[in-house]
Amino acid sequence: MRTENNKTKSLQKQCNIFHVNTGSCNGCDIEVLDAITIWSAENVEVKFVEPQNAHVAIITGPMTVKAFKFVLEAIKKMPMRLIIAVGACAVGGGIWRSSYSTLGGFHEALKLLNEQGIKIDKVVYVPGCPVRPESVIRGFKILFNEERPSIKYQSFEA
Amino acid sequence: MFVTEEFRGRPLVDPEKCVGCGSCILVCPAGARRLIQEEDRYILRYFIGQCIFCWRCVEICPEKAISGTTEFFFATDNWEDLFIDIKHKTVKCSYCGKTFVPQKLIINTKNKLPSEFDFDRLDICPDCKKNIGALKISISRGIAYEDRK
Repeated sequence: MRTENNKTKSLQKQCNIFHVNTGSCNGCDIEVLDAITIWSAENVEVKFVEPQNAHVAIITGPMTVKAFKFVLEAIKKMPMRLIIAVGACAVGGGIWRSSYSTLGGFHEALKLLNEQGIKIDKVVYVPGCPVRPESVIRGFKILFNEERPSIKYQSFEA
Repeated sequence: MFVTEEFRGRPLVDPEKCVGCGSCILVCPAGARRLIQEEDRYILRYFIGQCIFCWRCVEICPEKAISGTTEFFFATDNWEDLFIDIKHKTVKCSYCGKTFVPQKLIINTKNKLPSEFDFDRLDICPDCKKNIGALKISISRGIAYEDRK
C-alpha cells in the first residue's frame, strides 16, 4: 500500500472528496450528501474538489461503458487512490448487472484498471439500495483504519 | 441508526430450516441469490452487494426459513465478506446417477406426503421419470418390450 498511517490520520480531520456518478439513479448521491452533512458535524472539514487534489473518490452507479474512460482519467490524476464504491450498483452492478451498457460495478472495472497497470490503494464496498448515510460514514472510517468491517464471509452446512 | 420497525434491512436465512428448494433464487429480482452446482453439493449463495432489500424472498420462502431484519450497517474493504454461503448435500438419481435435488428437500417432502405414497419414485430425476413413463406406455401398446429398460 502506498498510504501510510500518518497520512490517513490527517484525513480524519480534513478530507477532500471527488464524487463521480457513473450512471446512478441519484438515490445514492443524495444519501452521500446527507452522509457528508452528518460527518462534517464531527469536526471534519470536507470539501468536494477536482481529482487532482482529491484524497478519496466516491463512486456511485453501475459503471456504464461510456463513463469508464472518464473514471479512468480521473483516477490516473489522483495522488492518493482511496475509493469508496457506494450502493448496490457500484458494488456488484445492482439490477443492471447483466446489461450490455454497463460493466457491472466497480469490482469489474477494477480488473480493467489492473490490466492497465493502475494500482488502487484501498477500496471500500458499501452495499445497500440506496445506502443509509450512517453506512457511508462507516465506509469512511474503515477506509481510514478507524473501525473494523461490519460483515464477514459466512458459510453454513445445511 | 434509528429506523422504524417496518424498515427493510438484510434478510437472513436460517440454515437449520432451509431445505434448498430454490424458490428464493427464482424470485429474487436483483439476482442477489444464486445457485452454484457442484458435483456433490449445491451452494445457495447470497451476495449482499446486489441485494435491494425488497424482501420478496422473505415472503416466498415455503419453510419460513428467511427472516427480515432491520440491519443495514454494512461496509467492508474485503470482497469476500459480501457473500454468505449455504451448502447442501445432494441426492443422486437412482437410474442415471445424476445429481438433481438437495438431500434435505427429499426428506422434507417425505415427511409431508401421506404414508401410502410410493416413496421409491422420490429419488428419480424428472428426465428418468419421463422415460420410465414413456416406456410403460409403449410396453402396454406392444411397441417396446420389458427387457429394453
